[in-house]
Amino acid sequence: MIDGLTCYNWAPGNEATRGEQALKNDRAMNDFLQGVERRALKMAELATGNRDDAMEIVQDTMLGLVRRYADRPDQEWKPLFYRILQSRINDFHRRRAVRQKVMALMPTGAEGSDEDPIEQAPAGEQVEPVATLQRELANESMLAAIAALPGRQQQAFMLRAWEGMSVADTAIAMRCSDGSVKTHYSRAVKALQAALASLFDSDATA
Amino acid sequence: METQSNHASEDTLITLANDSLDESVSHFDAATLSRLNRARQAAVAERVQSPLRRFLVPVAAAAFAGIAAVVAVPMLNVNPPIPVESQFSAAEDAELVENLDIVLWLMEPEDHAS
Repeated sequence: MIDGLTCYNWAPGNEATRGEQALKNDRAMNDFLQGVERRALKMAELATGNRDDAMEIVQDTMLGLVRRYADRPDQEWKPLFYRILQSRINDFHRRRAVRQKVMALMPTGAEGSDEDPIEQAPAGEQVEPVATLQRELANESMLAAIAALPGRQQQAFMLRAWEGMSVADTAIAMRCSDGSVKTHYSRAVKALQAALASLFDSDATA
Repeated sequence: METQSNHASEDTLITLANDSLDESVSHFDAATLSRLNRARQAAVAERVQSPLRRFLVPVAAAAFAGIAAVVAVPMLNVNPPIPVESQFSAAEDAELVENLDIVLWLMEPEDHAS
């Protein structure tokens, strides 16, 4: 019987062993994707401001990893996965910028728009969270501050601080040098510290 | 001293950020989790199909080329021209020669006039 598992890495020889190996690889890929999918979705959501767009980006990222890099050693999957994710997010921003330029040319576009100005606010704006908020509000403030970071700083911060990736792996994911990663990360930390100063003060006094 | 304070502040920031982010992903609604699950399953299925496709595509291409060769070669193989003489039977040959004689006789005006 020919099925996908036995055909994977097919060659004359011990097909049972190869089938088991393929099954093991599929499980490894499934486990890997399961381990990163929620974080990837959150990163994409913070970057795009929309869960549906984020979901599409994550789905494309998963397919991209499987199609192009499934045969790579599984230690390489994480930086490659986030590299594809960041690439998809950048593509999203480029498409949105083009769409906004086109919409700006339309005479009826600007006035009377129903779009939420907060959602449309460009990345990099300062967020002033209230100092003494409850836990949920503090979390929201933190997420808002992260979402307001410029794109590259946001990527560097989330990959390094949250995903725990090394500088080298983050550089692979972001397609830049180690030095650039450090710069973006450092600026992100400073921007967050400034934006959340009041939150820090209350946390320190607690 | 200031550096230690900065480190402490950075560590606190990272801890708070990670807590916030972890909490946010732990509260995804069921529909979102279901969509994530479907996306993952589709991706893993692609992994199973891709090697199968890699194996089947060359086989299918070779089979198609073979079939095309079997079908196309006889069509391209033009039959050699049959010699004119062999296109007519002996009876037809005699009739043709006879007709030709008549034509030639008609084309001789002097003999015909006499």
